[in-house]
Amino acid sequence: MALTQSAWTDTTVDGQFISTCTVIATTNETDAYTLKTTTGLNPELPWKLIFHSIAAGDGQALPLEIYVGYSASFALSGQGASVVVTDGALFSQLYDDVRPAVGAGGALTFLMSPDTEVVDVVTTTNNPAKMQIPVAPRYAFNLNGGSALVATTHTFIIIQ
Amino acid sequence: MALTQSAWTDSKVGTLYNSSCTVVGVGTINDVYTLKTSTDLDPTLPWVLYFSHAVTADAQAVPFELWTGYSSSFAITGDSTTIGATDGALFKQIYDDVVLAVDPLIYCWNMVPGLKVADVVEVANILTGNKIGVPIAPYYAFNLNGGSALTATTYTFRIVQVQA
Repeated sequence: MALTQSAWTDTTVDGQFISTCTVIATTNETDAYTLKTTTGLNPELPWKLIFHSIAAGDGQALPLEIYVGYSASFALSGQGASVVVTDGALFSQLYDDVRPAVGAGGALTFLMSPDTEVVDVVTTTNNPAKMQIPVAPRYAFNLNGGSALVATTHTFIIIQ
Repeated sequence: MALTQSAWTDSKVGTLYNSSCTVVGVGTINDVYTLKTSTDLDPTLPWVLYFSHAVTADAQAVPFELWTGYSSSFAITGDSTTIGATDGALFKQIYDDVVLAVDPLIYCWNMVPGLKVADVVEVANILTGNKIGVPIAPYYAFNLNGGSALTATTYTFRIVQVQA
């Protein structure tokens, strides 16, 4: 059974752009990735990513990665060592372990900026997480599991 | 027999500028380099560089270099110890080894004028996000600085920039 990836759903709340998607992993996958973000996100401005899961996604450290794409065909596919990107590439690991992000109360927040003056913070022992990201038309996120993932739902929220 | 270098092909859809080129190596020279980038790239804005090649380029590490040019005559010429540039110069090595960037695996770099944090230019640090503080220059070119003859294959370079 494959991933169930919802499209990103865009709304505006008090002038803030909000985009949300979910990815439902099964125990048949080692990677759980989103679809590409929408064109409603302005990549030239900073934004925040909020991530949480219903249950811890793996029995070992579960890194979160950010990919960048350059066309409307941008997408991730495959699993494990055979994760393939169409019209894009892995940019960076965004966090070394997102397993503590269980439930809305455990959500992790990442400050994403195209123009930061400080070094990235991408480990669980240093918070808040922040990253300098490329100005790109599309982004996607991947949970790069080291083993089969737990069957659960992962939620990604962008605020700008 | 010389390199076969395509010109950079530009397109723009909305605010998205996309420019790509290919270089076909010949299997007898150590350096594989592009022609100069086009004037439609805005050097004052950040951009993303993507690179891959069709098959493994070398049996050893293949460093990747950024060159900058200051006139429309800018071009890289020569090979190995004779490599040089007309109206330009080597800026820096932007990666120590791209040998694993074989299709469909693509490497990317965040190219930022005025970058305020340290460059990330080593494959050992690929998970920290490759990034370069680039000079603002009218032209750029890229070179694979092989330690031995590079494979006769196709090397693909792509620049993507969000423009106003």
